[in-house]
Amino acid sequence: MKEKYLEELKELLLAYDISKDELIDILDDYGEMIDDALSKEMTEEYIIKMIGTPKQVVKDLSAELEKGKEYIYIHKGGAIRNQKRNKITALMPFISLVVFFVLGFGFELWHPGWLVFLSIPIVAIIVNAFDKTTMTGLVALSPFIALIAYLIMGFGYNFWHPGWLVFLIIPILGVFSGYKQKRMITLLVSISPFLCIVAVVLIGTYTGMWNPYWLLFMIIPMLGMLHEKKVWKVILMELSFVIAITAYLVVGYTTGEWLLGGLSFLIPIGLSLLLSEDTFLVINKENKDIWILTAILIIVYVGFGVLIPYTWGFLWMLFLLIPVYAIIKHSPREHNLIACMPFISVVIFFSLGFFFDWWAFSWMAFLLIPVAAIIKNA
Amino acid sequence: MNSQFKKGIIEICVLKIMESEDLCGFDVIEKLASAVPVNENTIYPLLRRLTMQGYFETYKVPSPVGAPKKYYKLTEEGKEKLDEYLTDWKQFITGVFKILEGVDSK
Repeated sequence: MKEKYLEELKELLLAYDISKDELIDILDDYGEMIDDALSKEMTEEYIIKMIGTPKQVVKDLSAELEKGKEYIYIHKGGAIRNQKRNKITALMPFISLVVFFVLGFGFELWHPGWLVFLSIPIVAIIVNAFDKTTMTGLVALSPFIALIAYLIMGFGYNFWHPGWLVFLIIPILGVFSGYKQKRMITLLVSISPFLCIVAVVLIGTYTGMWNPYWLLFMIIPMLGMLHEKKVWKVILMELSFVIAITAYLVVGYTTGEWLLGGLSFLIPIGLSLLLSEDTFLVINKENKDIWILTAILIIVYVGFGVLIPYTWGFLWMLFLLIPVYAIIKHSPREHNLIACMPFISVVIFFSLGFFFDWWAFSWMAFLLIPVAAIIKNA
Repeated sequence: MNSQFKKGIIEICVLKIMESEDLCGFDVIEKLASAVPVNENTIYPLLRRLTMQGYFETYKVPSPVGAPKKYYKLTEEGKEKLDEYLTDWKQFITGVFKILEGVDSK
């Protein structure tokens, strides 16, 4: 009951211009009151009577705090400033349409003139998200920055692959935004999977040498191991990785039996099982599922890529499942569709283009982004 | 009763309840609700506003079960405000009774 109540309250409070600290404080207070009531063995019905439903709470909080000017809670859709923002946002579809027709009829620039429609969500994000922090705005904008960069690379330089790697700026920026007060090593471990993907894919694509450069992925656990407080454990684990990598390379290059060389990785695996408490690879309850998903996707992508080289070109879209999964897991349910739409659009756009050569029409998939937003907010 | 009028009285009651002891949010609600017919869910928002206005300060006390509990303590500013409210209230209610008694005697 408590989790559901707090989740609903959070959802409703997020509709107001309220600082993160204040939001957390209010949720903590209500969490505490529910705990108090539960410890007194009160029924759910009675607790709700005492503290109010989330809707009543938000109504009373905003009514109470509107009295003193300095304590005003402003509903995001209610303030004059927000009305101006909404007007700008609402005007953008029409402005975009006019610009699109001018470019099309006037200059025969239907393509890439359609890109002006991307200005609809971009303007909405600029006028709203940057109000909180620059990083919040950048994270919100990152799918569009990535998309535009990707399209320029694709249409301009036929750089679809490995240009898709630019989408990795989305989780990377997300990691940076969430680690303000965390240790540098935590930050490095968090972004290392993405940097390794970029490095391995670039090297693999341009040199064809996926092996042994996939070993770069070993940086992730080697960095992760630095979280361990006991120095002897760190030294032992790092040494085991160095030995395993060396053995793998020696066996591979001297005998050509790479698979046999791969058995050397049983050393760090075995050692980590022996020494592990819960810090190895910094996997915890919170991020376990993301790690599993990432690992499965890397295995599938690399596996198919090695077996059927043709698949390198399009199976990269699987990695879009990582941010989509994170959005579905962490965002309010009603925002899921809009937040996921850039990724869905990319998949539709690229699939139609790649498999059917419908690049001329497939761009229309991106219209789904503003359409979804308009339908949702209508 | 007029809701604004009632709100003002509840505000005095909340300040008064906290004059003698520090309480956590749920205790304030329970204590007030047991004495006055009040819409309980309006008390926490009121408590929050009074804290923001500097009439209460908060501190946490470790709880043997679960997270630390937040307690509200009346500040000097809160005490002054309470005195001011009580003086106004007494003057007001004396005047009201005078009128009511006068009306009754007729």
